[in-house]
Amino acid sequence: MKKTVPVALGIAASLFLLIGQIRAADQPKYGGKLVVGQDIDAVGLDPYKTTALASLNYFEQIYNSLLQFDAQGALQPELAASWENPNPTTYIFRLRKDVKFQDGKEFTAEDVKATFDRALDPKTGSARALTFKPIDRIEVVDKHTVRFILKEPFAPFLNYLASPAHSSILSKSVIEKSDPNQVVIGTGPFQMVEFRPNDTMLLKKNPQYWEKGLPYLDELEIRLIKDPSSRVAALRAKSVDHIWIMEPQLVQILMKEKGINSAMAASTARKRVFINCTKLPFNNVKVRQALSSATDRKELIRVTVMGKGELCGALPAAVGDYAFPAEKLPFYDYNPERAKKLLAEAGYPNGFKAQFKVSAAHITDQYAAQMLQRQWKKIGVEIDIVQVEWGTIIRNINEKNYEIGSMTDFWRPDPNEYIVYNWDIQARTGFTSPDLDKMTVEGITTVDHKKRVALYHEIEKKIAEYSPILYIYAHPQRFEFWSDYVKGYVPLPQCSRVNLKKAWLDK
Amino acid sequence: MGEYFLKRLLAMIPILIGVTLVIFFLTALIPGDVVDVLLESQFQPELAAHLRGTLGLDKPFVVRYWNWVSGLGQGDFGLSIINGRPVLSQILEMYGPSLELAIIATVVGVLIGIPLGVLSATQQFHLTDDFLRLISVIGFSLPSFWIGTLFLLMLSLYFPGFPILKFVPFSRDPVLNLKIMMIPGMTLGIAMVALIMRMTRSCVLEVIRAQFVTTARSKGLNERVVLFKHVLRNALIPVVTLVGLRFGYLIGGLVIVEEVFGIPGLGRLVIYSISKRDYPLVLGVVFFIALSFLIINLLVDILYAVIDPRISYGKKAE
Repeated sequence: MKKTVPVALGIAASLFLLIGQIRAADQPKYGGKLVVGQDIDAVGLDPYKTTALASLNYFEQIYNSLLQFDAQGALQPELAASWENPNPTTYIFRLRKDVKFQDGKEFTAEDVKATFDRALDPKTGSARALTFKPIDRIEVVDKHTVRFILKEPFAPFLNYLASPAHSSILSKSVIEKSDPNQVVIGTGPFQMVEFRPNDTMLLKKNPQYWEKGLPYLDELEIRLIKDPSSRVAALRAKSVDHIWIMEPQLVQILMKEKGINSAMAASTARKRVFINCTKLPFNNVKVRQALSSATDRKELIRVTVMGKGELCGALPAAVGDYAFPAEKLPFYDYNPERAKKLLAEAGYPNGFKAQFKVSAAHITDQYAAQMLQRQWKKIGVEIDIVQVEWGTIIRNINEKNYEIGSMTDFWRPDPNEYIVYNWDIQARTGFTSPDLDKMTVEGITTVDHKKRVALYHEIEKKIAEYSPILYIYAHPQRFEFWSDYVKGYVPLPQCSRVNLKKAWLDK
Repeated sequence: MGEYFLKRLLAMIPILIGVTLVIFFLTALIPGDVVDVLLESQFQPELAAHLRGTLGLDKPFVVRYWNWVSGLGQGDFGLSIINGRPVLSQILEMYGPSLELAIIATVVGVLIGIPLGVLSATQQFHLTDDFLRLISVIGFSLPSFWIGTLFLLMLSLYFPGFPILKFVPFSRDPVLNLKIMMIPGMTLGIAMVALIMRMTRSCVLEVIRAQFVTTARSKGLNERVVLFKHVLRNALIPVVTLVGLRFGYLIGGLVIVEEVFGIPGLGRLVIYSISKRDYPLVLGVVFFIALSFLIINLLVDILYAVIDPRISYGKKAE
């Protein structure tokens, strides 16, 4: 015993020294400018007036939300230091007291109330008014406490509060005096210096940022380089320090490159194939089931995204236990024989011809359409692929002016937003089902986790059975690459660069 | 001359009115609108209708046209729906780099293309001519995105310090700006050289056989004087027309080179605004490009008179 103590002490001391040395080597350096090569330009900067992912890539550096997701997808406090849920329809948030907006004004409960009041006001015209519809009112308890009173239990609530795309906190004075699309002031790690649409956004360090010691960078620039090969060339030439790309082919090349770190986002974006259920022959469920059966999803994953994807139902595996094991979903096993039988039962023993509308917005959409064309030909379904521009395809699908169509998808904070029955399925495919209708509403109000999981498993099975939308596979929305002198950066699964606040330059 | 100039300026007004009608009509024909793009993944039919109402998109075509044109008449291009910034300031910001690229490409094209064209014509059927013709065919057969990507690759491999895929406005750092713009300018210039060379060659060949050239030679004039004073001056008119047209085209049609080199210019703005259905921006940019064309045309007409004294505007024919 007497001997072990000094030995233990010695080990502890040497460990301590060792850690000290590692620390010294990894001591973050302050200063410098990091340039991001961005692929799509912002569609405006008002977080409540656009649902485009591209805008999020810009404003997420400037704003904070009440809560945040960590790299594992768990909820963590952000502007709210803690929260409680005394009954299913009341949430109380205790806010941090050391937070200032970038214009020097103190962050208080009034700002939270003003932000959500604005989002809910029909005059604002925000898509979030529907997202936060279950909110009845927001009460300021005191300067640093805010209470949300809900009309009914609202299971996705906290998840939405942690998503910068849904609930970035704006300043009350900006809301009252100006337009948040033009005056961009938040509590986040960086503040906007200059924004030139179609070109660049220059941000500088917020010196009053509340996370002590962060950010390390003095400046951050988000520069638009649309052409993917040019973006890769820019990273190689060190004109930019961080990029993300969608093209699986370029990913293969860059992965092998020295001096460049990479990360693959979680497979959160589903490849969706919409089927117009109001048109012949697709109004017959057997035709849709036949198409689902004739789809070799594994081959599609192998070829179109070069294996970088996962099988998925209406929910990608990335949402955790809500996702039902996709291989067990009805009509998910590749079975052309069954497909032919179903077609014959539906009255199309020799197949039929149909038009497939696809946009060039995501490169793999076209590959997937070509693969499906080949696979479905085996059961006699002849597909004519029509390329449509992005704005046009959104309108075509929203107006049900298509037969088969495909649109890109991205990360959502809650299963409820992955399966928005009334907009995504009902409004776009024309498919209606009273039980799905009821179940998706229950998906919002069921707070009990176990019950909610069971409910979503049921919903997924129903959707796979009715097949108004074929979910082919889930793929990472983008692949991130950054030069190895950028240290401390932690990529997030949801295609967000908020962790640039922790990045520093070692050069 | 002054009177002619004034007349031409006045004649531009009806043309511009016609332009506004055509572009407004064509823009309205594009399927899908700005609300579809704004709501992208969160399509809600009621909200879409509400937004169309607040943006005035539900008003009849004539009313929307009048609102826009009357604003335009007062120099008000309106605000971008997508980013809320004034349309005019965005256009002016993006106009600079496009104009700069067009100028560099044209200067390169004229300085290299015309002398080579003349050389090629005077050496007709010689090896030099064959060689130059081959070069020019290659020059305008190579697509600019290929040349551009090749330049980028070579520069990033062999000149790691050279600024590529960066952009600095001329007003902020003229030297760095010119350095950055030189390569994309050259990329465009290559096709321009080829084109101007071919045009100069065929025009010179046409004139060189004219009788007045034979007369000039028979007067005993030095071959150089014949070539530059008599032949070239007469041959240049079609070349100037070509350069003018190309210049206008370059200002508005640089999309590919701008994307490859990451330069924020007008071409990118056109594509962006159309893909986002940002109507005030689309209309503003297209109007501006049309206006540029008209002005360049006017300048070309004036240049004619400078090159060829026989062309004089305003004086009655005698």
